[in-house]
Amino acid sequence: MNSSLRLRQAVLAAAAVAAGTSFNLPQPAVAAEKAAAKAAGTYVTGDFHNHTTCSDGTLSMQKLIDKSVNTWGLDWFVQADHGGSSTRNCTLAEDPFTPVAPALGLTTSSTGPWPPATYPSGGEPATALKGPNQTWEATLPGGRAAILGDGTATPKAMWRWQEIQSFQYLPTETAGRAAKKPVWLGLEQNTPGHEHASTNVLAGQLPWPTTSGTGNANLQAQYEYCFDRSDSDTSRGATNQWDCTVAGSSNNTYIDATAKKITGNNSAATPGLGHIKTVEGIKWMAQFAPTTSYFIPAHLERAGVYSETGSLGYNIEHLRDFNNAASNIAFGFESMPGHGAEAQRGSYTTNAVGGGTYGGTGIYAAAVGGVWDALLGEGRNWWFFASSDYHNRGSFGPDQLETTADFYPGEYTRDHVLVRKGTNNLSAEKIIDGLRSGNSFVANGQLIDRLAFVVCATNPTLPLAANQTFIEKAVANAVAANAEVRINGCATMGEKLVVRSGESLFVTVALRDPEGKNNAPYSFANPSLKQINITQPLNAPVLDHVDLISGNVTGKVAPTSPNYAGLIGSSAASNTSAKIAKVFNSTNWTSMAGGVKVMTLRIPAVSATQYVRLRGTNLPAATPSETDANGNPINDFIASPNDQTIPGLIPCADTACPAHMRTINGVKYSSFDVAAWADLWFYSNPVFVEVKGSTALAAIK
Amino acid sequence: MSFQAVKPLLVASLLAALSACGGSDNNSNPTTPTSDFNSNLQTSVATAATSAGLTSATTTDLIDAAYKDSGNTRTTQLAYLQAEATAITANTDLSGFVGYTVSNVQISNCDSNNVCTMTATLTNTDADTTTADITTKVKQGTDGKYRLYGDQLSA
Repeated sequence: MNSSLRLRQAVLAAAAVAAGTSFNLPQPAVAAEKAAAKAAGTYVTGDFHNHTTCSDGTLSMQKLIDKSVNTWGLDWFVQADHGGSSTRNCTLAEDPFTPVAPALGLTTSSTGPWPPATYPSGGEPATALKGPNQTWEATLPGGRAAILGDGTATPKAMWRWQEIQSFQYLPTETAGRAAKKPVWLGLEQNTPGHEHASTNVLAGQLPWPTTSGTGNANLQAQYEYCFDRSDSDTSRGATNQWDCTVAGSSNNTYIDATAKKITGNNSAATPGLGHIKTVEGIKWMAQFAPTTSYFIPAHLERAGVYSETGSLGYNIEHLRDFNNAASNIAFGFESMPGHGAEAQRGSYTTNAVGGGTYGGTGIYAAAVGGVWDALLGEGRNWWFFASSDYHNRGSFGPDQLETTADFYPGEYTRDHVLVRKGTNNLSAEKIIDGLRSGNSFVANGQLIDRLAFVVCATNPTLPLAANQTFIEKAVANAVAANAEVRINGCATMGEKLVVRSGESLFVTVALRDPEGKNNAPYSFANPSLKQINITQPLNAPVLDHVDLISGNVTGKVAPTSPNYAGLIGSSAASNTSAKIAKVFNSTNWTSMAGGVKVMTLRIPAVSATQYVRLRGTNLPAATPSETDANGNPINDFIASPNDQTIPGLIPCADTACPAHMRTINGVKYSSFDVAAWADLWFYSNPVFVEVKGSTALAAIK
Repeated sequence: MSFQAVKPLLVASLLAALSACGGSDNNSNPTTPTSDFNSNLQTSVATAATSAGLTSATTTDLIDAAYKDSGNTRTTQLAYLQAEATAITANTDLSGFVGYTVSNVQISNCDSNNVCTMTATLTNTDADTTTADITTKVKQGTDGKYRLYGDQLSA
């Protein structure tokens, strides 16, 4: 048997085995959880994918964490650098710590003299060989000898497992405890066979609210050693002597005898091996930290279509493999990437699946009826997340408000997650529970900051209007409390409502479009809206409409099915029943004080298992170069072409339009951070309805 | 119809009209149509989670013959209640529907067709306490009883 065939068979076997292992316990159909069983919760904001000089970021850990939880006010934060190795000591603070004043129009210089006359063009921390840019080798008391594992280069790079285990953990724990917020370590895994994934193994770490004792990130470090594609160390973690075996896995046969891990990757000689290794990592998480781990593929369209001989993107079959391997670990994706202010939004290129982002979201989630809807149409617990993926500020300093690259965590993109903490403090464990639950939503530019979204079965002893009045009051109350609706007969995001065929349902939403200004530093008119004669300050966006998207659930696709694997547009990656079922806007929602809007759709007699989800935007349908006639986001390269030498399609004519925008023949075009602040979206996770006699939703609580 | 025959109806209507003119139910006179309606409505809503409650005479009798609510007639509403009762019996894993307690029932603004406005407060205490004031239509029948009338809309 040639290796290619053997590995192809192994991929299928991996998926099949994963579906039946103890790591993914079969879940019988159960009634939706009763309200009284749900601890009280509140939505909190966070981010789990950003970088420091421990990998390819430009800031120290201290500064990035400070920006995230203090400056931009996130409630929780997971510091997740790339795996692999790094020469830089990211635990050192900026030196000298000279923050660039947070104001616009600063004069920058690459040569100085610096403040107060000018500021470093890349920001002080970017200065070579200072602060967190100093090498481990030069700054560790033990010097080169203290850097463990394989490596011969000078300066010697430290493997990320050692950084995590011995150096990054304590500053992280300390910073979080000082801020009185859960801050812990994760990993942006260089995913074998693919590009990247946001991952985390919390077990062992003791972030705030724990205030005594010191935890460790040993398991996180081991995961990095065992499963990161760029970690080619074979030392088994030096004195750790790790073994990456997954209990009971037939794929242990691929483990290298010396390194005690799968050392190969997708290649011509070993096609598909990397993907197998990634699935093994998920199973490993399920074995060692089943309730405190996650695996969330990041910017998964960016690297293009999957190749079994390289490390490119993810196709839908890989997402299915992950979810099959451990649905409590692999439960969603970051289809809304970070790098929101880059010239090529999301750092996507035309080689990405879908050829770019769509309103800042990859095509897997942006296309109605596409990959996400296909997964939801199987009844999978597959949730939508986003991240900032902070690396740097592009041509601006780290303390300037403009950016031609990345937004800080919390500045632009926020994951809002329902955390059932009761009367206790917020905790990392509960936050991960919240991520896993699907009771979350993502909003850019503070387009909305609160959401209550339910499907409720109507009480037939009272007229419908009475039911509607009550349910609308319940969601309004929930939004006022930044909490969820806990009422039997209602289900919210990530949950299912189990009903008989013919049941009368209300889909009811309350959300808050916050009044006042968002974090944008620009008050000139939104150039995208200016095209349609709407004058709206860029820093005071107004929600234009909300799409209620529905799709039928027809059951899980087996790995042996021809509809298991396929590219976008194929039947495997489509849900043809998905549609925009209702558009809510100012003509049919009820506006309340404080920017709260309440809206309802009645489903008179539900007959099939289905889901509903929401998305909303500040842009009306048919906004040129932004949305199509149905309100779908258009490829962002239409408005701001991938080729930076040609004009954009949305001029920015206001005298306040900043100088850094794409300028062709003296005309400025919406681009970089302006384009991002102009084009705002939110996405909710779905609410499922299981109709008796139709498809059962075993994976949804 | 003789006067004797219509007398009880007239009395009932008079009592109902008196009660309906801003009348509220404080259980001070449990024999009035308003209080009967209040009691029956509370019972109906309170027992709605059970198969027996859904199909009880108390519940079904609260639906006026001319009931129409977003297209649902008395006939279809009764069928809906029966279907719900059947489903509850057959399935133990249904999520159920939103449950309420009803209070502060008030009937007022009756028109010449004895169609009145009913206001009440709905409360749910499954976990968090939610209350909402609702308004709906009721109609007083020739038997003096108030019944739910629906929104009279076809859809």
